[in-house]
Amino acid sequence: MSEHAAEPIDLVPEARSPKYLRKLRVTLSVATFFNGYDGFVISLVLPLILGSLGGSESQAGVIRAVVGVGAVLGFLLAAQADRIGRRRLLLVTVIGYTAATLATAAAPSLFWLAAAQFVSQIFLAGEWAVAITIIVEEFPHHQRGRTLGAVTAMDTLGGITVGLLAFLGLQNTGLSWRAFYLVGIIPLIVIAFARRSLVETRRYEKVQHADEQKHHLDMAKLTEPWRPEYRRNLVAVGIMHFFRYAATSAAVFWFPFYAQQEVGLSLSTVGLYIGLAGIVGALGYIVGGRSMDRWGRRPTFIVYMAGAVVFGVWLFQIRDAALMLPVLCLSIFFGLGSACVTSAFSTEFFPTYVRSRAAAWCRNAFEIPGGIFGPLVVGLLGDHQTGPVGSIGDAMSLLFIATILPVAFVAIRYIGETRNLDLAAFDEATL
Amino acid sequence: MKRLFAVAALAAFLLVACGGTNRPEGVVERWLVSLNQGKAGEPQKYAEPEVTDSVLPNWKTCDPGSLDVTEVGQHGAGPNGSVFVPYRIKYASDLSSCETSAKPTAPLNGSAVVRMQGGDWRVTALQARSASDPLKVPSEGGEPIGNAPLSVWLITLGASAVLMLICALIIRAQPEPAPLPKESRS
Repeated sequence: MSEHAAEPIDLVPEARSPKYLRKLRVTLSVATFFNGYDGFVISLVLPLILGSLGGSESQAGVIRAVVGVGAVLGFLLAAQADRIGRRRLLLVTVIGYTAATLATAAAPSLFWLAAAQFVSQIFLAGEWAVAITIIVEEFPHHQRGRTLGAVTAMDTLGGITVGLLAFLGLQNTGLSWRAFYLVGIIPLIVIAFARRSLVETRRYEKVQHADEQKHHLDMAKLTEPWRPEYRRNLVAVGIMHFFRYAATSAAVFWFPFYAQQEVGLSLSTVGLYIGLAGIVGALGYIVGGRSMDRWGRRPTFIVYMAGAVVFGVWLFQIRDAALMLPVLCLSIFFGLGSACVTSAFSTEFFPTYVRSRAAAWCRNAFEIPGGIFGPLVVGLLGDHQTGPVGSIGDAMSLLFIATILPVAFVAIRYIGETRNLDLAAFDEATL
Repeated sequence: MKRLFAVAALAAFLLVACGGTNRPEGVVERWLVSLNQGKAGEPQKYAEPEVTDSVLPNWKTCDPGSLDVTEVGQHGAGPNGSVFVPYRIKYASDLSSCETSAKPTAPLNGSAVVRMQGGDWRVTALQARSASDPLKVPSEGGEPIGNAPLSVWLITLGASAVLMLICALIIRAQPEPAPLPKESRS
């Protein structure tokens, strides 16, 4: 009995120094920044790539599909963080991503480029999952939300940076589109400096140490998060990831088309709008993170979903260029900003020994397929030649209604609050 | 298996729904978008070569994005089975990449004459559009190419409710999770 009583204290990790946490936040921000950067850069430079390497629009579609499959397969890598540790996987993913990005920059053919981007997406997907897992395990509970908000906001800033570099004319240099991929070497430089001071998360170390005697935690099985005690939360959080991302990724993908083809805005105006709205919208992550710590994950998420459905539907019904900018800002604020809350859901509902695999399931097995499904459905419904709706704007608004309302419903009915969750007690219960 | 069936049913519904529509506006839009891709574009699939050249002479050498605005509106009926599709284009400030001294001759605000040829719509000519022309693009107050009728909005609300029900059934079928320990010590 006395032995059993001593266990809970053993699993409460000592606090990290503020200096270490600051450094960690910067390192993880670089990882999420390039997740956003890489996602946008392919869309932007694809016409240049086709012009340079030769290729048709249909081949461009194939490249997109191949890249999407890479992100789904990233699940297998992301899940390894529970087996080999968070620190080691972060280093592996950064090195792998950098190598694949450099291979993309050197691509002599479309086939090479598609293969390099496929590999790059596998490592990026792993990087994202391990980054949010490290935040949840290293930062004290009252800072978790705001740190998740700040680090996930870098995803959007990565996308904005692509637009900024294009605005500054990076594509007009001698390296053309290849210059965008050479920027991808930055994470390796940051990690090269941070590597020595970056240590394994204390929570992971403690759980691994505590299990050394008993050996009853399965740190490798991919389906471990589907055990009966975790399955309901995994399914609920997974459904929310799928539907939320189906709507938001379709909005990100189709907005430029809608604004140009259905509202009549120029390409340059659309680029300017996306840049401005992205900066304002990135505040959605920051505000969401702080609200999570103050009011809780669930109420913050419900408010964000309400905002996403209102402004998402409205945005794709607007025909007035002046009104479009503020509504676009609010759509990004609520729609994309809610990612910081879903990243908390995908990690905090699960104990340390299975956390990274649960995050990988939510991100790679639910969210990314949602990101393929949403744009596809809108394209089929809204196609101006063959779509039954014939309007991308209406198809997008319909998708927001069809998907975001169920997300809010699941959050209200089936999601618990994890703001004051005792992660150590959660881990103790599993040992 | 049930989930697979649901996805297959949705895919079948979408394919059937998409099968019966063939709007000429979509062809005009694809032609302009393809023309705006530079060397990678394939505008010849949608329009006669001389029509394409009137918009961007020597288009294969042009950089992508030579057209800053490409907008298309709802069509009107023309003679002998043809249709008129209103369009609006605006050139980017710099067309020097096009490597030609020939200037574009296509009207900036015009109508594309589109005819059915071999089962597909094809752009055969362009003509100017006056301010009093009833055919307009959406930014001039014209009708959009397509839109969802009220019934589709209502069906979507119903579909959303059905999705909620399905989500609830799937989640409730899973075992109850253990309560989460609160009051964090870290």
